[in-house]
Amino acid sequence: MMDLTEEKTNKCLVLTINGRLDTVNYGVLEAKLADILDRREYNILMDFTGLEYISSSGLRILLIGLKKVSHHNGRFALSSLQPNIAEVFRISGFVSIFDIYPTKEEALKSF
Amino acid sequence: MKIRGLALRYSIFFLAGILFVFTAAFLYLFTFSSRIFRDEGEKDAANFSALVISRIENALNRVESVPQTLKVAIQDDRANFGEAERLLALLVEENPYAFGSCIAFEPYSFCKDSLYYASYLYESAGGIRHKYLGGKKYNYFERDWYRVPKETGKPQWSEPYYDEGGGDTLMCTYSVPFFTRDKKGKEVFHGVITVDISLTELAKIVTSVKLYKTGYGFLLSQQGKVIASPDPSFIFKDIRDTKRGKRGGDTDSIIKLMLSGKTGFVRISSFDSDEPSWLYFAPLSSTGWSFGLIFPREELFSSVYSLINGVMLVFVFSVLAMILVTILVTRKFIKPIRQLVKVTQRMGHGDFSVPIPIYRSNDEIAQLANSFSLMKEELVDYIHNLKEATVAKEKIESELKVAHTIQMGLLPSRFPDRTDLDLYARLIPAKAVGGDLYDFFFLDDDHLFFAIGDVSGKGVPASLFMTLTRTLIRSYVSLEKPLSRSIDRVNDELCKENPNYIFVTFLTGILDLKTGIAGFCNSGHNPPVLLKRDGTVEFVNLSVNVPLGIKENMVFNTDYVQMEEGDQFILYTDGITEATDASDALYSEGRLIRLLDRKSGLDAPTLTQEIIIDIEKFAAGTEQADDITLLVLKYRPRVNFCIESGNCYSLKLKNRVEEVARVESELNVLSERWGLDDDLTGKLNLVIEEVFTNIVFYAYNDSSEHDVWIYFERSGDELKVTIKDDGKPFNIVSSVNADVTSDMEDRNIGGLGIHFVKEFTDTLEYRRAGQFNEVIFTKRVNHTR
Repeated sequence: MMDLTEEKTNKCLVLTINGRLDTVNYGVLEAKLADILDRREYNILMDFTGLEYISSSGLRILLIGLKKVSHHNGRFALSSLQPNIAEVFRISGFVSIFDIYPTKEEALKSF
Repeated sequence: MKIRGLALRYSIFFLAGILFVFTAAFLYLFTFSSRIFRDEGEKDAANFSALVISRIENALNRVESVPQTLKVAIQDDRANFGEAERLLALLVEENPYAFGSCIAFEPYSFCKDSLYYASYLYESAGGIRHKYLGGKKYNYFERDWYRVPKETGKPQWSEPYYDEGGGDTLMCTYSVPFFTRDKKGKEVFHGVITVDISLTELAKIVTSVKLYKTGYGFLLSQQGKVIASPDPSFIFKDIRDTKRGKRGGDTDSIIKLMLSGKTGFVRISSFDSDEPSWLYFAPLSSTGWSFGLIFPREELFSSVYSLINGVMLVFVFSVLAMILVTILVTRKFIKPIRQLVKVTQRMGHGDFSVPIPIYRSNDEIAQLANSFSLMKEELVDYIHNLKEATVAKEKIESELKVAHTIQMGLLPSRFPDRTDLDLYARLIPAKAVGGDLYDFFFLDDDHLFFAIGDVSGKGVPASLFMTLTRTLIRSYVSLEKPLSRSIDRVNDELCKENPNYIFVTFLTGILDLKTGIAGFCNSGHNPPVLLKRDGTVEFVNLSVNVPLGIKENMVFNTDYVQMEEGDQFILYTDGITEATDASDALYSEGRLIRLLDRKSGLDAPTLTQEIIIDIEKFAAGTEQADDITLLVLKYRPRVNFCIESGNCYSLKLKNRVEEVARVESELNVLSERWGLDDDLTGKLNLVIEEVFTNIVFYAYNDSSEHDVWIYFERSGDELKVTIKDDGKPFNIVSSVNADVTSDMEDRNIGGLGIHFVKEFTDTLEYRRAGQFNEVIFTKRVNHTR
């Protein structure tokens, strides 16, 4: 189960995700990101406070999102990763690809 | 030392014999010579005595003649009494023995006036003296010398007496009565003429006697009084009193004999010293006296003794000499035996090189030595042959031992220790190696290969063939291909290079411990028995393939049997069914079936033991002809067992992506049950999801529905997960890693999931099991509770 909520700030678009991101429901995120990009929002911050689980399918979508945003010189940042999510990012090497911040505030400051 | 003993023994034996003979001869000699000496002694004594007696008698006769002569003179002419007296004087003087003489008349006979008239003439120092006897003090009529002849009218010798009235000396008197005729012409006693004999003179005759050394003679009166003896103290004593005051015994009876006028030669103890002596006695007829000649026995036999001593000495010396000779001689004879003993001892130590000396003589020793020599030669040959035979025998035995060692070495050393499987086997070899075999090993964690076989033939070639077969099977059997294919390959290999035409019957099987399906390939062997959980027993119906090693390119078939929980296979060789008892009856399949009936409750080792005990009871002491081999396999599905104990969890999914959600929900249940922490649960979720999605997307060429199994097993603090699918072979472990270091641009996303799987598991394993892929990973569990 997963739900997504948007929040527009003057710096960026904050996308808060709660629940799981796995092979079953990654399509929802995929669609949402596609939608955001359509609206020319190229600075995206994803708040992972409520993200409990992510698998490679989810990571794939994030990577696609990052690539697309970079294309438009935007930024894709992540914040408030839970320890297990952080570990996944670390193991997968995604820590070096994404800008990851411990809190949403810090992430916002970077924009 | 034996040899000395022999010589000594012979000597002793010899000596004993000699001693015996000598002693007998000696005794005889002694007795005989004693007898002779005794007889000689008696003769001597007799002669001597006769001599003495005649001398004495002579003397006595001479003395007796005095009164005899006077009697004549007086009786005839009384008027010539004066002449008679002169005559008497002459006689006394002339006769050395006569001491005195007396003519005594009856009262008032010579002269009417005188009562007494006894004219006595005797010798004294000054010559012949004259005395008139008779008077109040000396009433000669009462005296024996007068009275006795008067009464008897015969001449009479008196006992020795001491005549103080007459001669004042110890004497004997010879009295002769004389007569006159009266007016009627009748003879009338007129008086007595006596003559006295001095015993001292008589004694001289007697004491002149000397026989041997200390023998002496003595004279006894009629009453046993000593008349003459060398010992003056004896004289006039009763001989019987001379024995130092002792009276009685043999002496008395002997003296009695003497005094009774007998002659004899007897043993007696001497009068003065109790010395054993001989006594010769003979009577003096004229006087009634006895003469005795006594001498120590020793003196009689002194010659005998010295003779005996001499003989003894000779005897001893000759015995010693004989001992010496015997020892020396036997030693000489024994010497060859000694040598033979030495040789024998050396032979006993195995040294046959010592030569046996050759003896030239033909005697028994030489014969012994010769036969010894022969025997030695034969022994050497015999030992040589024996050694060869032993070596040959040992070779055979060691070959059998080698074969046995090979056979035993092929058997797996340990039985599996698992909860889903109860496996036990035993092989009891027959004396000659029979060539049975059992084998088992795990192809993977859930697949057990097991087999039982029997090789034709015996000995090392058969053992080696069995080794080869086992090795081939172990190398060719795998899960990659059906069992029959592997066995086919083995058979082809065995048929090459089989000069001895050995073949092998083999029953092989692979049991899938997850599913309980057993695949068998039976190459000419006895089919196994299936003992079901409910106790029913039956032979498994398997297609019959040829034994291995006979012909190449044969067809082999695999047959599948489904085992249920608690079912047992019993594999055996014909050593069991063809075991015989004393009456040659076979144990047979039927008996096996009957034994196994309803024995499903036993575990494999116990069941095996029971079968063996029953066979042994049946065979009851008859020798085992063939190897007895048994393999018992009892199936307990691990999953069921595991689930029952709560340490397992299983999950079956369809190959659809949506099923991932079920993974999550099932994992939540499991982590709740087993107290797994969230982090662990998350990682499990991730790993399983990645594998599962990989399967869903890439495992199948078709679009049909497939099952994917996930097994969870907990043991201790380890969690083991098995994900099983029946898709294409895909080894997740060896697949290309995701590139996690390169930049975003270059990143190939495909292998990321697999990377997670590798990173988030403690151990990761892949295996292809038949048609299945199995991904097995483990994770350490940290309990929250």
